[in-house]
Amino acid sequence: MIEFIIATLLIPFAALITGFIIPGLERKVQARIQQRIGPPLLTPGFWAVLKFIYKEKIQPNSPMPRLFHSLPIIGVFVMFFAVLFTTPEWWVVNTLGTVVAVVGLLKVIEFLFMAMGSFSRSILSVSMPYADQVKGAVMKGEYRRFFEQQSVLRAFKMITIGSFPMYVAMFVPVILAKSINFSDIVAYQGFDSTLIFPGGMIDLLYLEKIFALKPILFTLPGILAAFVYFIGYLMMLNEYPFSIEKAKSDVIEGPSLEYASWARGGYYLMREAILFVLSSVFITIFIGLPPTLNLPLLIVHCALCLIMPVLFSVVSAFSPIFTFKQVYPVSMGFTAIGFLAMVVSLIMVI
Amino acid sequence: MGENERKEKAEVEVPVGLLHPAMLEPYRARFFVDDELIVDCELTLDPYHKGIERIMEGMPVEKGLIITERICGICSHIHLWNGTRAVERGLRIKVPERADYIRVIMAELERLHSHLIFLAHAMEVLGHETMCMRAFTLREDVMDLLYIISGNRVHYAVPIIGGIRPRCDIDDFRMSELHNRLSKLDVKIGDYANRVINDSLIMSRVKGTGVLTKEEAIKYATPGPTGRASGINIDLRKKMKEYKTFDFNVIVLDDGDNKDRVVARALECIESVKIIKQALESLPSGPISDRSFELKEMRFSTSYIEAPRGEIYDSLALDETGRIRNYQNRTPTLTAMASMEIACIGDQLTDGMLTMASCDPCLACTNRAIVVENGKERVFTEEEVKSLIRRGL
Repeated sequence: MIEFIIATLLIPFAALITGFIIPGLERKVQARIQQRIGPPLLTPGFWAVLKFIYKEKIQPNSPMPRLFHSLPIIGVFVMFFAVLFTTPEWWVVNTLGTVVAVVGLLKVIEFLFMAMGSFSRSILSVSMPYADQVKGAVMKGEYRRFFEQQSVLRAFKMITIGSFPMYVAMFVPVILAKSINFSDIVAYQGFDSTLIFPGGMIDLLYLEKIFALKPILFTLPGILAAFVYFIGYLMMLNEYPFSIEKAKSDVIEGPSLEYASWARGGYYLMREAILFVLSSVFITIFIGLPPTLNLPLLIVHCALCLIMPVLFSVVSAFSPIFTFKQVYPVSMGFTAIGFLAMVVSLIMVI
Repeated sequence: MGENERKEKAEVEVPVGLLHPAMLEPYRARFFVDDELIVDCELTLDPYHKGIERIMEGMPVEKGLIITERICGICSHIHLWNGTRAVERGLRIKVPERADYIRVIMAELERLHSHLIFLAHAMEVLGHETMCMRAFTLREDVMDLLYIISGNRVHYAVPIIGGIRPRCDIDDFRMSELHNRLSKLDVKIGDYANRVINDSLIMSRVKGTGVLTKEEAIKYATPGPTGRASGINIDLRKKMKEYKTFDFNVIVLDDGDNKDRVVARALECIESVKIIKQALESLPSGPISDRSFELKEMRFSTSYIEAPRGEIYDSLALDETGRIRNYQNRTPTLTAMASMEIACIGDQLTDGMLTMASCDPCLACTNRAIVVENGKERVFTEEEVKSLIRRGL
């Protein structure tokens, strides 16, 4: 029981610390590619959040401002549980330590983006006081759509098409391990459950155990699935080139346009949590190293979680935003590769 | 698709602006969309009016012409040159050849500056931050060159009536600096253009979007590189006496889409470097200004010039004391934006914003006051305008 309580407190805390670093790392990598210095490492992820908490509170032009403001906090909690579900100490709770449970929580996050957009009414579009129709406008009386509403439509499309690659990729380790339980997936990759608790200081024994792992990532279906997962990761995060949901050129920041002061800080926290969870799930199911109470292993896990954001920063720096003309074929293409990985893993299992 | 059909197809309106991060200028775009596809668009360009023409009325001509630089912060030299040129034409002042060369060098550097800002802005609207930053980095080099010649990074104030200011003459030190830096810039711009043209991700966004056919471009009098990207082979520089001695190509492309508008400007940058190099190599010696003219009453005089965004027109008259009367200025953005209103139809909404940016809009220099009486727009006659000016309104 004591492990369960400590894990519930410590592992989300470790996730939070890593989450504080990720946005800074992401910005730093992009800045270096763009021949700039970039912000200090902790500024975008930590100091910015702190700064927003102390900013003047601004009432959003939303029909349900309280609910609108609470959505990022709900998102942080959802991701809090997603981290815990991948933690070995929580696997004793029946059915929570499964890939399906994490997929369910990620679906909630996707829905949250739609909800945010639906409850937002920024002044930058329809509400802007400007007499459009006095000067002989041809189109009069059309229904007018806020940027956020346009963004919600895009979020809906991304839920249907954009999330396919990630979920398909997540089920490749499931097929190989013949189980949806994280415990079985990491055991398949040689994770030694005796390492879970109590842990200790850095010891070569741990390094040996880590090097003894046989990650799914280094198998043929694993590589294919990892590649597809990475594309799904970008889509899920609404990051370049799949940031059509918050394309600056038209819908500006999309669903989060009206978040200011502490709510903007909350939104940043939610994003950091999603960044960590998606990386953490990848490390757990493709490398076989879950976030555990064992301190050295937890540090290695968190360090590995920084790799994917670095990779996505590089991709983002060299990509324009895709419109749906490009998103559909890319998503379908990678979903097809994901299915190929599933077929290959099925053949391997049979 | 006819107007009625478009009206029926429009599902919803998405109004964009006046304030929007993707708009460098204050205009209002009403996109009528069916799902994500634009079926119609209406632009409103006139919320912002500087009243420069009115401000200049009655000012001493040398003092007034400096204000033309404030029409645009990016192409300030070309406005001052064209205003000065109109006066020089009206008063039949002969400009020394060396001054003409230096004016051309400044104009071409300014074209580089303007096109690089365009490329940066287009890449920003595309969402490609890296190429945006790189274009801005290249622009810094161009601004350094402008600084070397004029002493200023913007608002250079190079031309004066009869020539150029003494501080803007190109001496040996400036000449060697310009030569050195231009040779590097040439390579850098070429690399950048190649990188943009060969980037399949960028091309997937710009190819086939925002198509403006040659017929539409002619109908809407699309100016400058925007028109040339739609196949209109007009470049006023080929007709200007100042450019007669230089060998350069007019970049004319046929597809008329966003890709061609981006590529046309990238290739024009290379041509501009070519012109500057020729001008530096054959820079004639001699005086840089002829100030022996006498200001007197001048009848209505006009001048047309090829600015980075297209053709600009300046006209003015002088009274017997050399004060400006009836200064008029027409800039290319008005017709360029009108063309984009048509070009964006059929695009995705996100591409529509790119199409708007692809004509390199600069409204600060374009707007006219619109008079609305009882909810209806009214156009003032020439007599009414003169009457208003006489009454000081």
